[in-house]
Amino acid sequence: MNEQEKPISSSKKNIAGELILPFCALLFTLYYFSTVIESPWTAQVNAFMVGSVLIGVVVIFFITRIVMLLNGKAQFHLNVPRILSSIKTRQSGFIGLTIAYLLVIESIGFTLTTALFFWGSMLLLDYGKAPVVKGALAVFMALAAYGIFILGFETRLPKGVFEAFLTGVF
Amino acid sequence: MDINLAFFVELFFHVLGMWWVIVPSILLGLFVGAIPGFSAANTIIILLPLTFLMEVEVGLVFMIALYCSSRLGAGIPAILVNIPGTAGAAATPLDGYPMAKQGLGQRALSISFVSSIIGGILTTVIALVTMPWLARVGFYMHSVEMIVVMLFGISLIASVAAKDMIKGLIAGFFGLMIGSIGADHVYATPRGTMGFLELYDGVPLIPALVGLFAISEAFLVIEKGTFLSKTNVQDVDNASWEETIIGVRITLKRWYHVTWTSMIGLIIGVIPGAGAAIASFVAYQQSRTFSKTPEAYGTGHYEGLIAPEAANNGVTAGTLIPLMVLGIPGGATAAIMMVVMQYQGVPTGPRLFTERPELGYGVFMAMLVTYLLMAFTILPMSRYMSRVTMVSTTYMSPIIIAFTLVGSFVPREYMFDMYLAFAFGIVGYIARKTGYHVAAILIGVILGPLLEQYMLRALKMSDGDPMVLFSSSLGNMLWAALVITLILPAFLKRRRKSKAVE
Repeated sequence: MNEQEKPISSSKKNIAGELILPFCALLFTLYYFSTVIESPWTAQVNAFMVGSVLIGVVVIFFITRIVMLLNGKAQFHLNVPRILSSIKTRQSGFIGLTIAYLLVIESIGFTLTTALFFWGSMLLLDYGKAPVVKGALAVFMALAAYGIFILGFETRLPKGVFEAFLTGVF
Repeated sequence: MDINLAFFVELFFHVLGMWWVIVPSILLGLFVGAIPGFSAANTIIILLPLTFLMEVEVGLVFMIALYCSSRLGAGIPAILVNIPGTAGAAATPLDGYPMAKQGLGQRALSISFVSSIIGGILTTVIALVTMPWLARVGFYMHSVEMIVVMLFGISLIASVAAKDMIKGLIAGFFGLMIGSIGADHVYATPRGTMGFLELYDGVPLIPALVGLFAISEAFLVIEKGTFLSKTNVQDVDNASWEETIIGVRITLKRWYHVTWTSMIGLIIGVIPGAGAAIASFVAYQQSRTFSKTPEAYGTGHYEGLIAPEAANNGVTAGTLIPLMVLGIPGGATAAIMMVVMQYQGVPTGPRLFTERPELGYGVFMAMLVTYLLMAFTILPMSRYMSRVTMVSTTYMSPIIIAFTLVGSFVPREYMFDMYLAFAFGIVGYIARKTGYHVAAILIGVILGPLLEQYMLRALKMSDGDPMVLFSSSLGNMLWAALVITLILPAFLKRRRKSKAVE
């Protein structure tokens, strides 16, 4: 589970990545405080208890990392070329497809979007091999999902052209 | 009607005669349990009209079988692909998934099934015998005692974070802050909601669960191309039935461990408002505390898998005790059962055992029979289920993404929950890439709101006096137990070290 970021060069550990989460946690905690600052004590007590511990731990973490930097045991390096090159990978494409899936599912409907998502993702992850087979598989899986979730469990997933067509037919 | 051994034997065979309801319900329960977002409760709600048409005892047997098997089913994807089907299975992947990644998925499933089944049977029998006394546990557990129980669960963060304490604490407390999002319990002041009305009720658990575990996993595995390394693929491919038998043997050898962790589940299950998630976290933490090899936890340790699975199945019997004995439903499924019983004119509470004892005791007998039948239906499946880990991520990743996003949509039917699951997926991905433990974040998200709720209740009752936390005898005993369990691992480690030096 611990897929720690690998050092970029030499034996020095690059600490840039591991600062993201504490930084987000700190920002969120400060935002949270701003939303309860004028609230009754019942809304504040938990936030201030948990939040102050979190801020304390984050500050300690930042201090330890600064000490590591000063002692030359770590390096802070934003590897922009590496970040840019990673955008071209299949992983980034897959994340992009997931975002597209979430954006269009409401307008196109669950079944059709799911079929397109399956097809696009499988082609992307398998370097475009066997598009017809993957297309058939994607349609089959999307129809199975329609049968299980919409017909079987009566889930009110977003409906579109395909669902309207089936409702019209049956 | 005399309640004696003959009555129970007759009842057992009567319920066993309803296998035609139980077996299909087990299969349905395994299926819905394995899909995040789908639970026994919402499946029963969907099938409620059908339940009303059944005879009351058939309807209850159907609901019980579905309830027990869905609890067990939630552990299957947690072990194989790191996706807990429900929050109750959130502690299962901590050791189950590392086993699957080592090519020991079949063995892990077998351990999970056997510990769930033994835990379920054991707690059902204990529940049958001790029902009147156990039902009172809920009365003694007030806000102060519940705060300590929550802290038992939250202390798991420290264990999860053992390798890098400071990062673990950041993840855990970040989770607690995220769990604090929503309107406050007294004046309904919105806090940290970023203007989203959908967050006024707090952060929904399923999007957090599927995002942190499943979606981040789907993004990560495509880097590798497969869940397993080439050697491990061969191991899974060559695995015979022996792997299942080894799993059974491993679990039976640790019968004592199964027994006490399932008892934790039973006791926590009796407390209304608590549940399988708390039980499995507490059981895992306690198991690690008293283990001779705590450092092995999180690496695919057998006992780390047995503890949450035995505990979350121990909860099933516990949840039904307040409903049956007192007429107070201890959870969502129990509440639906109460509706069905009321619709059919069956009383709940003490009258049930005097007027319809065959139904009162029959519910627990149905649970016993379900677990027994599960041993024969599900255990042989472990060999085939474990092959899921061999499927290429080309196919698995899109399936995981689509199905878990649907799962996050189902409980509230908000599109927002799909976006939230994706956001949690990104947080989980960053966390795992940079060495933070997603389980620590999730523990905070699940237990944070509950802790706040009980804390506020206690403080309100004492007009803000924090000394209320040490005002009850039972609470103080629990505090002492908590301090001991926190100190004990360090003490035992030191003792072992000094023994090794000698």
